[in-house]
Amino acid sequence: MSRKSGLRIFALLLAVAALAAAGWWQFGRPASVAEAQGPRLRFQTLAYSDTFAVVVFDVDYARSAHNPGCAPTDVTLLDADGKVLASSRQKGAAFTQCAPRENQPTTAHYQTMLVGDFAHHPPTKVQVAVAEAQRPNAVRDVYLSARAPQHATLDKWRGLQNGRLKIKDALRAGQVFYLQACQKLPDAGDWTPSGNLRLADGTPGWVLNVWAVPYYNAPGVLTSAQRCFLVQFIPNPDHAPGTRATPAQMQITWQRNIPECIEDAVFQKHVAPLLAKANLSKSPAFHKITLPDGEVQWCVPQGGLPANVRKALTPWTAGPTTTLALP
Amino acid sequence: MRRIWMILALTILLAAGMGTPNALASGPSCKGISCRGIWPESTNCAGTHAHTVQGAHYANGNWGRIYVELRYSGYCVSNWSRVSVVRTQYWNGWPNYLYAYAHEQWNNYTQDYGRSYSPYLGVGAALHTRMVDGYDIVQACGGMKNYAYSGWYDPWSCYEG
Repeated sequence: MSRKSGLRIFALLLAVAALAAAGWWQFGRPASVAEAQGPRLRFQTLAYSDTFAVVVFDVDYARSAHNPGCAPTDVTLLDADGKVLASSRQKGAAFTQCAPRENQPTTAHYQTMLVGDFAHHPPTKVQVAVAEAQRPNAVRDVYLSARAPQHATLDKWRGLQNGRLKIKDALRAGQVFYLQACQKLPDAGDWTPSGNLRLADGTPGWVLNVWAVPYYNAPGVLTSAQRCFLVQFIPNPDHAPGTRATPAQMQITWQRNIPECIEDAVFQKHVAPLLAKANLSKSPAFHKITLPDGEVQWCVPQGGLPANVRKALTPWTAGPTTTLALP
Repeated sequence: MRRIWMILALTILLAAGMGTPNALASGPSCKGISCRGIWPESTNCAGTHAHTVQGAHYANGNWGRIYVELRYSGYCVSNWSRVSVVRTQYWNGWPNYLYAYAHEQWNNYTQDYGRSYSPYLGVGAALHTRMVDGYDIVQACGGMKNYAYSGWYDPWSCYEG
């Protein structure tokens, strides 16, 4: 071997060592093997309907015993050829929620909802890349599901409509229900849904937990009063339904969010009269701020609004409630 | 005649400068990455045109329940995180600290904010972070704890979207 070739090999080895030290070698590694020092991932729900999919998994941060928070993840749905069908790297097309799992110290519970055309392109694999809790974007483990996601569409719920609320698509994963629906709201404002699924006797057996607005960053989505949303119903922590129970009715109520700041025109038209009516005109709940361009807005201080102010604004914040019978 | 033209020009200039505040607003205070680290309320990003685009009603833990929101301004293309207290309960004391952070996933940039409440947190307490780049995938997190005693099952919740 010549001196030149030796140097080349040495340089190559050095580069590989540097990459390995930086953790990059773990990217794209198609394995479901958990590293001893890395997070451990356990897939739970892998399900899809025609227009969205749900991936639920737990990550055990055994080495981070002191509340590490949720490390960012990348969730990808693949077809049989390995082609990417949906990815959480596409902003607005996927939503992940993460929270600690009760009674399982060091375990974080993740669920990701992804939208896509799964009627024509069914996913067969799920890949999740997860970072170390305290080192986001540093060392990652990549996990590939050993089983294919299940097609779990609730056909009988699709297309159900009552007035301004319509179910586009729904799926059931065990005792958890997910659906994509659209609601015509009073305006294109900032609205939040809450609600439940009720048993035949009216008991709220499931409650609305996670919700998100798909493609919220796309033009026209948030400037329209027609709001489509993904939503998850979990068994009611206070009145958990039996394992064979089925919902007979869905109720969704919308509430307008109070933003950090309210433009002066909106404030004078909607908020000031309600504060006056409740004798709260002199309440320091809102700070008047003049922006550099002269625009005046009324802002909520860090700390939140007092309960009596929030109550006084109810006529402005209350939105529509829709009930839908479920077959 | 020259004087008339001068008066006309001055009138036009004055009219342009004395319009309503909204007419003066030439656009968003910042956009995308230029919103980084700026409080939403010091801009025109946080008005009634801003939206919560993801939330979860049942983020529970030892100290009670919180509501975390991923906030978005389409006008400024910025995100931030907001957290509020839904319910508190006694567990080795009362919760007295509320916090939130927003993390740009690709750029690895974080804005966090937290504050103590004395003697303890009440229902309805809320706070939010400064803004981050809304073109990036953003992770919004929030939680509450007891400042002297923090455990794994403190109520906290994160969203990526």
